[in-house]
Amino acid sequence: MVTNSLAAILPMSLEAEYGLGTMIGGMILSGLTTVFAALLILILIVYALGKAMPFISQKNQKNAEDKAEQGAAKAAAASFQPAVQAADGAEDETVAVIAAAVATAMADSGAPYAITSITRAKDARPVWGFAGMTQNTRPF
Amino acid sequence: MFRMFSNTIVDLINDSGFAKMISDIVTKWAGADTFLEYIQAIGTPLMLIISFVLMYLAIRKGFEPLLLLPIAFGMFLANLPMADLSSYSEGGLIYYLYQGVKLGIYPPLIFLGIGTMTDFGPLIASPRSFLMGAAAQLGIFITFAGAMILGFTGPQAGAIGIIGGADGPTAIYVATKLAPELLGSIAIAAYSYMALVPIIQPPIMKLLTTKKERGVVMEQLREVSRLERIIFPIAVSLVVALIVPSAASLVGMLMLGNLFKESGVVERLTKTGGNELMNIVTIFLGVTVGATASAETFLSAQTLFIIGLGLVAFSIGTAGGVLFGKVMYLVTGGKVNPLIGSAGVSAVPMAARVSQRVGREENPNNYLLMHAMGPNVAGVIGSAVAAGVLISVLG
Repeated sequence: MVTNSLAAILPMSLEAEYGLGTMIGGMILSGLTTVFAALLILILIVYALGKAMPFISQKNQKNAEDKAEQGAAKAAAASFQPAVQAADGAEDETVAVIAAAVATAMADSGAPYAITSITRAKDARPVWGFAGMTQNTRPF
Repeated sequence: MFRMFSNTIVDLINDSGFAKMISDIVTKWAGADTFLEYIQAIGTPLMLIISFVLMYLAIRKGFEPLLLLPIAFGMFLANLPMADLSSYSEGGLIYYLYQGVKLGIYPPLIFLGIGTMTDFGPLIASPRSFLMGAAAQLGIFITFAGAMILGFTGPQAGAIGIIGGADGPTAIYVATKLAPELLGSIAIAAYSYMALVPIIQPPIMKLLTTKKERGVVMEQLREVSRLERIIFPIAVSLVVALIVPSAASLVGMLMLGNLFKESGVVERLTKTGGNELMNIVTIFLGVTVGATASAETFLSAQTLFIIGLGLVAFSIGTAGGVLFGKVMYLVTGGKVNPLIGSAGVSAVPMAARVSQRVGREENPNNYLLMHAMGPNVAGVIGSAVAAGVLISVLG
C-alpha cells in the first residue's frame, strides 16, 4: 500500500523531470522511511505482546490450577471406589504393573489421575501388520 | 579404410568443443581492438578458470560452500563450448531448472528453510533490535545512489544495492525481478562478500566505536514464551505484507517456516523444510544461477563495478548498523553495546559471531552472541522489506 503510493510519487520518469539527484535522494529517503516504518510497527506489536504476556500467563496459570484442583477432587472421589475394574480376569500383578507404567509415564506432567478400568485392547491389527503399515506410510 | 578412419577422426576433432574454443579465440582475437575485446576473445577459457577459482574458494577455503560450489560448477557447465548448458539455452536441463529462479520460486523456498532454523527469541526479547536491523539497510540505498551515478539504470542500481542486504536469496530474488542480465555477477558478489564478513566488518566496527563502548556488557535477555514465538511469525507476515506487498512472498515463507518450528506440532514439515527441501532447492538455485554467468555477460566492466559497489554496500550497511548502535548506546545510557549493530546486515549467523568475537577481544567475559542475534534476524526481515520497496518502486 505504502509502496504503491511511493511508486506513484517516484516513477522513473521523474529522473527526466527533476534530475538524477532528486530521484536518488527521494529513493533513499522513501526507502529508508518505509523500512523503518515497517520495523517500528513490528517493534510496537512485539513490545505490546511482551507486556501482555504476564497477564495472559497469569490467567493460564489460574485455569491450570483450577483444572488441577478439579482433577484432584475427581481422583479423590475415584479412590473411594472399591478397585480397578480389570476386564478379562487380569490378575492383580498385571494391574499393578500397568499402574506402575502409567505412574512412570505421568510423572513428568504432575497432573493427578485415576485408573478406573483396564480393558484388553482389541487385536484388530496384528503387530506385524502395524509395523508394515508404519514403514510404508512413514514418508507421508 | 585408413582414409575413412582419419576423416572420421578429423571430423570429430573439428566438431569438438575444443576446436570451437580455439577457433573462437583466434577469430575474436584477430578482430579485437580494445582491452575488453581482447579479454572477451579469451572469454571461454577465462570463465572456466574463474569457475575453478570459485570451486577452490568453496572447497579449500570454505567460502559459503553450500552455494558457492554449485554456483561455480554451474558457471563451469555454462561455459563449456557447444554443451548448451547455459541457463539461457532453451530446452536443456539447466534451462528448465532455471525457470524456478526466473519465476521467483526458489528464493522464497530457501527462506522457508531458513525460517525453520531461525530463532527469533532474541529479537522478541529485545524488540529495539529491529531498529539496528533497519539501520543496516542504509548500505542498500546508498549503493543504489552510487550505481545510478555510475550509469546503471534504476532497476539495475536497485539490484546491485541489495547486495548490501547481505542476504543471498534476497539478492537473487531482486536481481531476477529487476535486472536478470546481472544475476550471475550479483549472486557471486553477494555470496563472496557474505563469506568475507569476518574480514570486512571488524575494521569498520573498531573504527567507529570507542574502547569503552566495545566493552559494554549487556543485561541478560528475558525468557520468551511459546505463545509469543507463535504469534510473532503471523504478526510479522501480516504487517510486512500489508505495508510492502512485494516482500510478502519472501517474508511470508520465512515466517511459515518459523511457524512450523515454533508450533511444535508439525515436526516432519519442519525437518523437510529445513533439510531435504532446502537442500534440493539450494542445488537447483546454485547451479542455475551459476549457469547464467556466460563470458559475454560476466566479462564486462559492469561486473567489476558490481563487485566494487557490493563491497561499498556491505561496508556502509555495517557502518549504518554500528552508528545506530552508538545512538542506542547514548539513548539507553550505555546499556547497549554498539557492536551488535553490525549484525543488522543479515548474513545469519556469521555477522552475529563477528560481533561476539570483536566484543570478546575487548572483554573476554563479554558474551554478545545472543544480543547480536536480535539485529541479525531483524536484518533478514529488514532486507526483505527493502527488497520489496525496490521491486515496487523500480520494477
